[in-house]
Amino acid sequence: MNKFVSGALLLILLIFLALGAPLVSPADPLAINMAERLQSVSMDHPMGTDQLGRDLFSRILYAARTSLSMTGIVMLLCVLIGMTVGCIAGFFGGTTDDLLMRLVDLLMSFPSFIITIAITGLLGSSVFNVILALSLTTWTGYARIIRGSVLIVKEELYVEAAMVMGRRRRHIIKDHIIPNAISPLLVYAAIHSGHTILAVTGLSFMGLGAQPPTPEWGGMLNEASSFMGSQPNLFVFPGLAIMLTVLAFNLLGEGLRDLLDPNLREMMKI
Amino acid sequence: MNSEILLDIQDLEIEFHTAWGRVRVADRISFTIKDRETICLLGESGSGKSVIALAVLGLLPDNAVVRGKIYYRGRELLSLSAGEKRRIRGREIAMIFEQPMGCLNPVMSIGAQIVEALAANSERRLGNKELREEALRRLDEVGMTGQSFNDYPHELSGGMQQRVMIAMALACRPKLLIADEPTTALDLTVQRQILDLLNDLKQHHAASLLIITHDPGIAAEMSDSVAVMYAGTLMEHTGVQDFFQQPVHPYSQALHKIISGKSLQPIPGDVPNLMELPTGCPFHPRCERAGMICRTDKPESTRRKGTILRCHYDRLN
Repeated sequence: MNKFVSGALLLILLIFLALGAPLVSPADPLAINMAERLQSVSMDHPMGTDQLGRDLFSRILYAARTSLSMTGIVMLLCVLIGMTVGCIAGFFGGTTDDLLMRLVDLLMSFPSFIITIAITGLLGSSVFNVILALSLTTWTGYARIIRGSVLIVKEELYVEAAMVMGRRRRHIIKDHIIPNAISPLLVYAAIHSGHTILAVTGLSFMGLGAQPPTPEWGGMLNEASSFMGSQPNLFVFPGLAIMLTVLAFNLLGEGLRDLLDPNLREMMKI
Repeated sequence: MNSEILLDIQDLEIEFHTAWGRVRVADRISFTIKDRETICLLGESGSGKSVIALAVLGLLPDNAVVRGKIYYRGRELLSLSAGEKRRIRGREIAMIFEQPMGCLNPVMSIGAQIVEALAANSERRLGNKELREEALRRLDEVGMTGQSFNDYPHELSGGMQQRVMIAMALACRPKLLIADEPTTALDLTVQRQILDLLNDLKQHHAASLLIITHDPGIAAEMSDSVAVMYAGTLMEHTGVQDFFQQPVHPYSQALHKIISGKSLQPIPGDVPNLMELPTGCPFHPRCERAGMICRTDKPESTRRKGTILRCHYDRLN
């Protein structure tokens, strides 16, 4: 419960900061001011300035928009693809199931990060291509998880009762199977989003993904690498931002898992 | 009374192909259900009662092989396409189950589930407000108040849940309601209420009722006629009075002895395993009257004065 609340609050705070970046940030994240370059922490620049004199705090706030929205879109796409494939495989079974799940196995047998790099390398580095590549390589886990719970739920009596009442199969899937099978997916989605943040920033760090001057945490870390010795604030603050976001997602995921586990929930009531 | 035939099952044979071989769970079953009739399929667990209901609804698993004919108002059901079978379910033939709790979706309020049942099977499209009003009326019909509309299944008692199931099953005024052990999971006092409710609604909507049960008491109370199943075979189908006053089949007689309380003498032996049915009549190892022919030949159905019987004994006399 505490994990869930703290994770959710942290994530909500991050999202609000990202959305409210224009209001909260003290300066324009793109405004270059060579006179104030590489400053340390001060009242004017709470986190200092970078090598082009841009306000680091403002850049981190604006970067949250890029990183969080990319993660969100990847998660939604993964849920969409994974849930469709997993539901179809689990509900219809037989050959359909075999074919779809072998495809999932095939995709899973490649290291997804390497494939993502290959895809973005092939298509060119842009935000869109990173989202596409990450979604295409990581939806498989979603498909497996939802298939597993669909296999359990479809044996439930209320599914049979719905069939007896002449319900259409797509309505049965939508109304009875998905709502009862989705909870493990929520946990997975939260934890997977933590991984996605790391992948998104990692790709930007390598120069794939969001291109300068767009602020992005991974890209900022990359730029900071030249000033490692002299200006620790340049990589400490983006790193902290990434860490907090991953922490928020992980806390949320673990909290959800505990919340959705009836045994644990009973224990916590006592 | 209009005695038009609603459901006519002819020589229904159901086999399951399993990894261990073929299992015949229904062997040439024939019986009819008339308009507004209540018929009880009576039999022990595993005698093939529920499978017949599933065959009528076209919901047998893929490894089942079905032969024979099932006519519903003159239409043969087994040859219908999947879509046509689906349209029969819910609108023409509905079913309620033994475990009402399991049959309700735990994450939907019961009101929403009744609305869904209405929306799925209505002839014309209903607006949200209309659907809600109809659903409230259905709740009222089964003796529940509108306060329960937003309740979730786990907030209701077993009897209430079964009422909701009945409301859903009758949402679209089916002509035939199949009740598979409708009261087995309920308390005795609640059983009575549910049976009365079923009877009332059946009368009110001029529907027919097929009750599947192992409880002869329910058969005696509810039904117009009784069909006794044993090991996938329909042993005797007769009017309810005949069945309880002068049963003909030795199995029915053995049951009768127990029900009437004259002796608490169980029928010797066990129900046979469907995988290893005895030759001849499946009941012969436990039958007092079994003769030579019973061990070798399976009896055919004979009809006498409205009674259908499947026993050599009848022919020998």
